[in-house]
Amino acid sequence: MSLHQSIKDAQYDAFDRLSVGVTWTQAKAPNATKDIRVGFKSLGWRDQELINAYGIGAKIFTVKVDDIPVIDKFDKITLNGEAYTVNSVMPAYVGDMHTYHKVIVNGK
Amino acid sequence: MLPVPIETLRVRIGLESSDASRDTDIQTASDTALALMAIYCDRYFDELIGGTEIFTHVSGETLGLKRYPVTQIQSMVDSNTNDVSAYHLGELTGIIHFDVPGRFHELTVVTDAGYAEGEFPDDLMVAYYQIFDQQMLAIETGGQSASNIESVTVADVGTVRYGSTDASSGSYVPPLSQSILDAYKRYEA
Repeated sequence: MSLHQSIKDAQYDAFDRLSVGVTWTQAKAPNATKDIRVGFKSLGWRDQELINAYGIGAKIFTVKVDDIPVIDKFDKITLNGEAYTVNSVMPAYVGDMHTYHKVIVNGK
Repeated sequence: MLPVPIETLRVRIGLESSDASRDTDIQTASDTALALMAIYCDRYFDELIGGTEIFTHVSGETLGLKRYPVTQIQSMVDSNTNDVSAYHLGELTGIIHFDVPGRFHELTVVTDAGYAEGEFPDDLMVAYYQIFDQQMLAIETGGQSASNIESVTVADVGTVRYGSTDASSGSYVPPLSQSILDAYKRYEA
């Protein structure tokens, strides 16, 4: 097992302990849905640049690539009955392994 | 030297008993495990016939040998090349009891001692396998065994702390192995 793989496994183990359950819904056909666990963060004062770009109350969802290989703009993530529409998706890596999608939804 | 046939260790790491592709790693992990056991206990457990131990400034009624268990003492000679024969040996403790309390500038002891392949007792094998497995994992992960991870941070998600690890040499000997090896530590009676 490579060092990067073992880091990824350790991160996924931590992720599973800290994450929250949501439902992902694909915007395009076939409009697939899947129950997954994600990291959920409301942007705060340290994220001023992101707030300037995406508005107060913008959120970052962290999604495991192993759960959803591709997430697109306008997909929906539903948490506790509230649906968030995906605005931007950015990749996060461990070494050269694509491990997470950083999914940003707009605030106000 | 391996404490068990190499086929046994191949199977332990998930290979066929005839698969020699990782013998070098197995030998490295095993040598390291035996060395860590020796450091922890201040004793050598692998068999050596005619092994020499030299002690300096020996005084008192007893002398604890490093190689264990001792089958026999071939010879014991002081710094003036006089044979020392007034003693008896506690084979199960590896301790020489001098009949008359002695004082030696230097003492050279030649012994037949240690466990041969396949003769290691079950409890020592449990301790050995704990360390061997950890060393194999370290080899497979490029030196980063999972047991050494103190905390994991996933950006924008959080941090999980697994508790601090002991940076002393003891951290290379897992707790179960330490519990077992404590009974084998060399000591002066």
